[in-house]
Amino acid sequence: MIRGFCILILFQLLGEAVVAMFHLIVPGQVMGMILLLVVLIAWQDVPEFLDLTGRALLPYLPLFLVPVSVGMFAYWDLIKRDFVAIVISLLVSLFVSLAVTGLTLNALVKARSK
Amino acid sequence: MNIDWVLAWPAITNSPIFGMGITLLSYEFGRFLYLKSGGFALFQPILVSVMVIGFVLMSMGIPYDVYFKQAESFHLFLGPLTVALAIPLYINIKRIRQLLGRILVTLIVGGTASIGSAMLVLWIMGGSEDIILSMAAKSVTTPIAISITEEIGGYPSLAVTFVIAIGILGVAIGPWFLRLIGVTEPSAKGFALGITSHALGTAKALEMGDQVGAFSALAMGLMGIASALALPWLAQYFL
Repeated sequence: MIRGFCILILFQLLGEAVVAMFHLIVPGQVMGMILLLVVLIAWQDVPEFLDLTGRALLPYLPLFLVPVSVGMFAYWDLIKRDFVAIVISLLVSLFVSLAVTGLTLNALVKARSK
Repeated sequence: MNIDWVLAWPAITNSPIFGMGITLLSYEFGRFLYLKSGGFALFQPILVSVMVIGFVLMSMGIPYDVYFKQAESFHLFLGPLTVALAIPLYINIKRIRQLLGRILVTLIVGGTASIGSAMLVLWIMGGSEDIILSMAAKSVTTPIAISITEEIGGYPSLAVTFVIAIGILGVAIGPWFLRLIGVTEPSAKGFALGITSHALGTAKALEMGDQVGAFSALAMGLMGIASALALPWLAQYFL
């Protein structure tokens, strides 16, 4: 568990370093994810200690997203003027985005597998 | 012995553990509601938790910054957990390779529809230009959204609000809506959640299965990278 967590932190730090060195716009943790994926592909297996940590921690991802999500309430003053327009545009784009993306890939996947 | 009752409350809310306490407590309350209601979409633990904490902070006059500092240790976990998404991605790498061409087509079509529809509706309804620009990055994970919005000239803080709002809406409505319109392939479900609701959608997708989670993580990553490359470039031409 702890060993796996060390690996995750190590790759995040590596990611931060790569992002800084190459002046990239992606966050260090996303770069860390890409680097770990590359290493796993090269290794051709997920070491058990890493799998264990992933299985233990990933179900709590929504919990760790709570603090930043509460920030939504902090900008009420900026939103209030255009509130209705913002809510409608978010809702429209939510349905459009889910429908277009979901139906496109769904159809493409089914078309080939038939 | 003199007991100072009035000192109890500030001692609680000023304690550095208070933020973590209400985060865990409200999340657990959300989980309780979600399980008791048989998985009612609006009782997503994260949605309940954010609402409860928002209410507590506002009613007690605690500024968001104070809460965030107290709960920041939770926030820090997001880094290693994002890295951990490489595991479901690797486990599903065969399926991803197999579908790569179709994935990229869907990314372009879905990403354009997602961003275009939000900006178009705001423009039609007379939203101001700063707000329309801040909407461009709404489907991208927070740190990328901040840099993109700075680059194209919107309000980064506003963009973050939109990112979170669309994320939470997607978690609450997404799985139900995808079922309704007949999206049955796990890869398509995950990809739609990831394109629309980034990390929040991916957290939900992981609950729906390994493959759904992997495709959501993939969509989140690709959407972030594609937006970071395309939006500043597009902004040059249209502004």
